Amino acid sequence: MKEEKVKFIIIIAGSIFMVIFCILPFIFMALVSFSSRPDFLSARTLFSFTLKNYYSVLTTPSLHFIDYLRNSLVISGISAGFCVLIAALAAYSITRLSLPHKTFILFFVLAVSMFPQISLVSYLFKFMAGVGWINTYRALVFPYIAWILPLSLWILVSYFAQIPRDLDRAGLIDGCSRWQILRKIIFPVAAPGIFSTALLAFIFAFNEFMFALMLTSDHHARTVPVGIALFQGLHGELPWGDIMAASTITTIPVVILTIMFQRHIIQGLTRGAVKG
Amino acid sequence: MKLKLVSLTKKFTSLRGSVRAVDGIDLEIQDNEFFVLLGPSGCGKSTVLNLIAGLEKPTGGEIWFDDRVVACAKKKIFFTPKERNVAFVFQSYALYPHLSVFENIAFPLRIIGEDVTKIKESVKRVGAMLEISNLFSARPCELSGGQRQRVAIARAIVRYPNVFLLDEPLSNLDAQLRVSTRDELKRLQQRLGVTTIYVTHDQVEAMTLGDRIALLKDGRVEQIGTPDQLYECPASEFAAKFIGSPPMNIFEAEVSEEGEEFYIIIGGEKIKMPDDKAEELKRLKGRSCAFGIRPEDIHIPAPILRAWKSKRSQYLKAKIDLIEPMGRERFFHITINEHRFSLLTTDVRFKQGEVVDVEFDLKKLHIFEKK
Ligand SMILES: Nc1ncnc2c1ncn2[C@@H]1O[C@H](COP(=O)(O)OP(=O)(O)OP(=O)(O)O)[C@@H](O)[C@H]1O
Ligand SMILES: [Mg+2]
Repeated sequence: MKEEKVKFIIIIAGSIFMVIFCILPFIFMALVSFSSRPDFLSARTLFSFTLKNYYSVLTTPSLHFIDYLRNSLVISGISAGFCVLIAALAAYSITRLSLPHKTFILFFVLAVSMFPQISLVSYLFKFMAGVGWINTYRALVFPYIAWILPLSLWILVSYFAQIPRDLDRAGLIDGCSRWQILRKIIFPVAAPGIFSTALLAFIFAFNEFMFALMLTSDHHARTVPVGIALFQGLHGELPWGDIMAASTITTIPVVILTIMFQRHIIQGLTRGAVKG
Repeated sequence: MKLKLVSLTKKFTSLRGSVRAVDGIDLEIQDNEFFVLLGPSGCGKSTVLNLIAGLEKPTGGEIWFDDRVVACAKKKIFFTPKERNVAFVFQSYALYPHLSVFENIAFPLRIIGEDVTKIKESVKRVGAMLEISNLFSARPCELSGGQRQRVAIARAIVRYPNVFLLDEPLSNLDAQLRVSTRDELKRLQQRLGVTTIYVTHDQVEAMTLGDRIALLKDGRVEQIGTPDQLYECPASEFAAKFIGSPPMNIFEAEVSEEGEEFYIIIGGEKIKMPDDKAEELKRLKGRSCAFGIRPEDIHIPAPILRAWKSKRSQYLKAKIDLIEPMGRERFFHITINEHRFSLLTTDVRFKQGEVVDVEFDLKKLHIFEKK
């Protein structure tokens, strides 16, 4: 009885602490974005509510926030889509076909992904400048796909490995080609894993900073994280209100995506495929 | 569809070395036959089935469907499962979890592009046959084991396969359901008249279902025959032990030859062999043998009979160690001079610890050569 109570208190206290710990920066961000005196970071000013910052972020043409947001969404969406498609095909062949040196391939991919971004970025810049892609979507989409692929591959390999092999065999018996097995059986069954991987890939690309900073030069391809970081006021001061309002808006697509996909990311969809 | 396997071999090479899962199997399976592959775990039953289905490529030998080679290692011929038109029921059922029961059954038809009204008809037909029409809209995860198993069978038979392959389809069901489904399966096979190959490690299932049984051991065929042949004349000690429940008593005994007569010595008692057994012993002279007798072939004679028969028969003194009632029969564990035997009887007069006379039915004695 007493033990139960202690446990309960610890769990509740722990959860509250975790939630506050994680959400406090967001609350701060939102508060600042709604404040008419956003420089209250240091000074002891009173909070007064305003939508001025949002209005200015969304309408000031020189800030290009809408452009950045569009760039971000398009680039991240394309990157995540291709990344998951490639990773899913690769994961299928690694888990199902008798490839030689499967484990080697898998670990090689992991090893490659361990290079720090900074070690790649100067070469990437040279390369992109050479092919004339600097400040285009392509300049970010291709590196993003390559950069996120290892993670997606590993997640999907572990997911596909859980799908019983008998489903593939049943598909073969029922007359499917390999491609039909993939499209009609494996992908639908693995849908939760594929959706969550896609979401993760999207968030990764959406938050990426280094490549975006180096490979873009203006609002034609610049993404939100870089764009916000480079916000400047008229006289070179940091416009905290605009920055925070922009950041708050930026979190919205991710939140919406998460809520949308949450329906799909339900566990245990394979239940009932095999015994038990 | 007639099936023929010619010295079929499958070698697996993995990190732990190479395994000959199937080691030169020759089989001929007749049209419409219910053929059972029986054997202990790991003897290569599933691998044979997968080879027939086209899910694995043989490393040696040939597979014939009627007079067509569908797989030949030497000539590099390999037909896919689709080309062979086989149906397979997996041990795990392997239903598609994202599809409803109806769609699961319709799946093979949709893949070959059957038209919609025909699909509906076919699915309804097998649904009615297997009494699962009321489950059509359910997902596999909502079904019980027995229902899943029916759906798996329905999916297998919906498109008139050439061969019907089943890999331990009943092993996930409880004992009662297993018996009723077993009977149903047999009836279904007779109705459909499709050549069927059924894999099991359960000898009762094999005996009740099979027109013929192939007993496998370590990737080889130990014996092929009808259930009765396997029971009456096991070809080896392994076959003798594997088939029959409770299993056959296997024992070693000294053989002594006196002129034309042969005797075996059990528990210090010399027992004269009948003529046919004597002949067999003569043939096996000099080689080491084992003897086998089924529990129901050891009798405890009634006292009156004993007095009457004692001139012609030889009795052995046996102590009853344990009695296991099994309903209609009783299963006795007995010792004859340190040798353990088991026997089956319907006699209820005896008690544990009692010493009784037993008699071996020597006509039913089996002699196996030791390898
Ligand atoms: N893909 C594989 N790779 C390596 N070895 C394998 C493979 N499949 C089967 N084997 C080996 O082949 C042998 C026969 O396996 P198989 O699955 O045919 O046995 P089984 O008779 O069906 O047994 P069970 O009754 O347990 O299902 C086993 O020793 C197994 O380890
Ligand atoms: Mg098996």
